[in-house]
Amino acid sequence: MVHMYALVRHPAAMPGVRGIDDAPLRTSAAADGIDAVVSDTRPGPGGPTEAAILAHAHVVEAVAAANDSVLPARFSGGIAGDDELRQRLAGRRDQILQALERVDGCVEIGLRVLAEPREDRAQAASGSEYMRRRLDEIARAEQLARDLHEALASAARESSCNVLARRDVVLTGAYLVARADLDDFHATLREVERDLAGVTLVTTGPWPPYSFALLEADGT
Amino acid sequence: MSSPSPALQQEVTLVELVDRVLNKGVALTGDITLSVAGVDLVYVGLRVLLASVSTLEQLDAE
Repeated sequence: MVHMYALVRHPAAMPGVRGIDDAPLRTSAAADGIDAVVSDTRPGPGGPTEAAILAHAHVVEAVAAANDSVLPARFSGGIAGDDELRQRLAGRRDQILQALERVDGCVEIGLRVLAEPREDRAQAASGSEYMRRRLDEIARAEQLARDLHEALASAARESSCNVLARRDVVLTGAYLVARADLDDFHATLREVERDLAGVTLVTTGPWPPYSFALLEADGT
Repeated sequence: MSSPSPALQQEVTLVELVDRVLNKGVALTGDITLSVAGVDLVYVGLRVLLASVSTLEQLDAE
């Protein structure tokens, strides 16, 4: 069985780390000009363990540090071998190369906006009262998302945003930022932060560009 | 606007990491390889891990 961590341009620069279950990393020719970074895994009862998830993330991080452009792979099991890997990527060569071009020299910054507990969340007197409050919350979240996301998106090369309007998480965002523009992005972030009330803004990263590696054919 | 505590920052980072590894990135298979229950278990596991980390931090601080 083969586990894929990432796709990079051929020839891949291989980092000095090991993969899941301490297996050595190797490259697999995924398509003309594209290498997959993989390790061999024992077939076993599937399902990602914590250790495997962390090992996957660790390898992707190391591959991203060693190569200018990397497309992180989603954790997935059940790839029998190199031939099946090639088959599954068949017909997607151009998309992969385009995606590698898009994320070249970029990192991803994650954003999570958390709602702070408010007193007006005391029990609603009635169902319609509850609905009214809930709609207000959603409207506020959407407004916040527009303001915040637009400001940050303008400082990023690409971005995506989900307005959740949940009681705990208002929205999540991801921003593709060129390494050279990171300082500017953080300056924009600090500016936006100053005007916010009632929420806590948590940024994470820089990550390898997980959220910008999706290809059209992935259908998600 | 309040700044996140180190513990919150760490928890969000782990949630975001798991979300990225399992839900983002180039997908090789169309199948859903993970049951929702499986993902939840991973989150629960990480929370337990975090809880023990923050307990240790508290012990250190005392």
